[in-house]
Amino acid sequence: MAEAIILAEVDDRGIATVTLNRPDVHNALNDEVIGGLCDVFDDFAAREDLKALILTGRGKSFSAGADLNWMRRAAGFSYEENLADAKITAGLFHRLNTLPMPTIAKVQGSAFAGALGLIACCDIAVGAEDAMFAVTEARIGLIAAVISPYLIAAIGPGAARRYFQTAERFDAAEAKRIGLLHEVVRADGLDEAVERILRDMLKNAPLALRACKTLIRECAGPVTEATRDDTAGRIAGIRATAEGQEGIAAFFEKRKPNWSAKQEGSGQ
Amino acid sequence: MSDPVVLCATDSRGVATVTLNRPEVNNAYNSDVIDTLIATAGKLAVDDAVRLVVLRGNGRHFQAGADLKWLQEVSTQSPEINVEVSRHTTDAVRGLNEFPKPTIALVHGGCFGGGTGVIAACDIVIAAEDSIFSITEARWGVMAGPIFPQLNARMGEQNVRRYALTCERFGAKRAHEMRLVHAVCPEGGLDQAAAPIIDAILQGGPGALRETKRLITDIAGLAVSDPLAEQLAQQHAAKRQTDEADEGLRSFVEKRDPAWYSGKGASA
Repeated sequence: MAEAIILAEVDDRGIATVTLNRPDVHNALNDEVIGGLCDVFDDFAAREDLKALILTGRGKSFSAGADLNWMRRAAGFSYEENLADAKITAGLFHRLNTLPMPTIAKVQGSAFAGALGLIACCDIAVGAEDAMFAVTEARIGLIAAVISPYLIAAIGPGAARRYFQTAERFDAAEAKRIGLLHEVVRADGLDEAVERILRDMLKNAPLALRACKTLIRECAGPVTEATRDDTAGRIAGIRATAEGQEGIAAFFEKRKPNWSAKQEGSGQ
Repeated sequence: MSDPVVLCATDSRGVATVTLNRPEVNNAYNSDVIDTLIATAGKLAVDDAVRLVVLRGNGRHFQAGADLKWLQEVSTQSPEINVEVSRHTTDAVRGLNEFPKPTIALVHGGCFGGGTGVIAACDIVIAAEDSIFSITEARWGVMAGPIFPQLNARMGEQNVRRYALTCERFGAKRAHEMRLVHAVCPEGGLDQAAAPIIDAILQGGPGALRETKRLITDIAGLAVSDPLAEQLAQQHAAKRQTDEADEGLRSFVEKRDPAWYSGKGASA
């Protein structure tokens, strides 16, 4: 029997750990993973005994973002199918962002594209010092749409204007400076760092923590259904464009997309 | 014939470089500079050969803010002319902030007053170590109205509240900490620091980048509405025609302290 693509466990303290478990494909997100995460988050959201939730990945990467095989399938969808699909993805980030208990992203490896949305939707993010990050969507002619409300809230519009548009890789120290990570530690110290945060958190009143979380979210400006629909519409629209199709095709054919051909041998 | 106050050149990759070119007055802006910048931005926005814009200053400084001698002359003219000048100033910064392609500011030397707003309106800011910044307007009894939306969004209002009220100078390192600039490079190293970022942008799909930038602007609420722009222009113009501004601008021209300052070390 195949291993579960998501591991979900709860320890005797009431700490839930959700682990992305497709290390062979760098924990890429596809419809199955997204559906699975939605189910797990729905189950855990209903459990009043849970004190905190840790989200992490198994293997070398935290998550490489969208599974491009899935994106390629989605690019062949009609606009309506694309929109329905993107709304499910938007729903995943909404669920994680609004989980009633404190959430901690334990970022044990690199995170790209949509995975940055998972991190930004957690209350606290701790990362291994060798992890790398990038908002890679524009490289393949797409945009970081449904994650953008959460990611821009975390890193601010200034950093977003750089990294969304350059798709540059940046390291854990820079991720901390711009607000994506709260703490950066050696990879072998990650468990201890998260445990230290949990020890402090477990000292606090569970219901107060839940109330804090709602308060912070609502005071910081809620992400409305209209925002989610809007962002879902944008990704659905751009996936079907010639450029989106070209970008995904170029990726699979291991060639440069047609918009970067002009660069070769030119310039200063 | 005198040199153009703004230079513009586009290379074979589609990288347009706009250079402020009044080095004899540290690239201080006047009506000519503002109107040329607006016209240049308009042309570059619709030129399909242009993929991104780099903004820099010729000479020892990036930009010294407003040409205060010019500003003093303007302040003696009719209220209508003053409002018109302030509308153009507001539109220049607003247009740069919402320019549809990626923008990169390369800062060296001084960046004062309106110059800080100009860089806050760019997507990416790289500053050489020798850069010095200051939001200087209040020192001269005038107000930095048109650039506040961009400064608040970039530096956070907690920092603007300090630096717009004190007009203190701060260096590149502090600017980086406050996120006014994205990266700091050694003196003379701007081109080298910009090269990989420009290359990274050229690898992105132009349409995806346009959508991405619009999305960030919408999500983060970065666009300045027409009523707000008009209010900023009106306030900016009205403040310039007060007795206090008259005294402040005179004190600059006459190289003396303004009447409201009794000198360092003086006490009540």
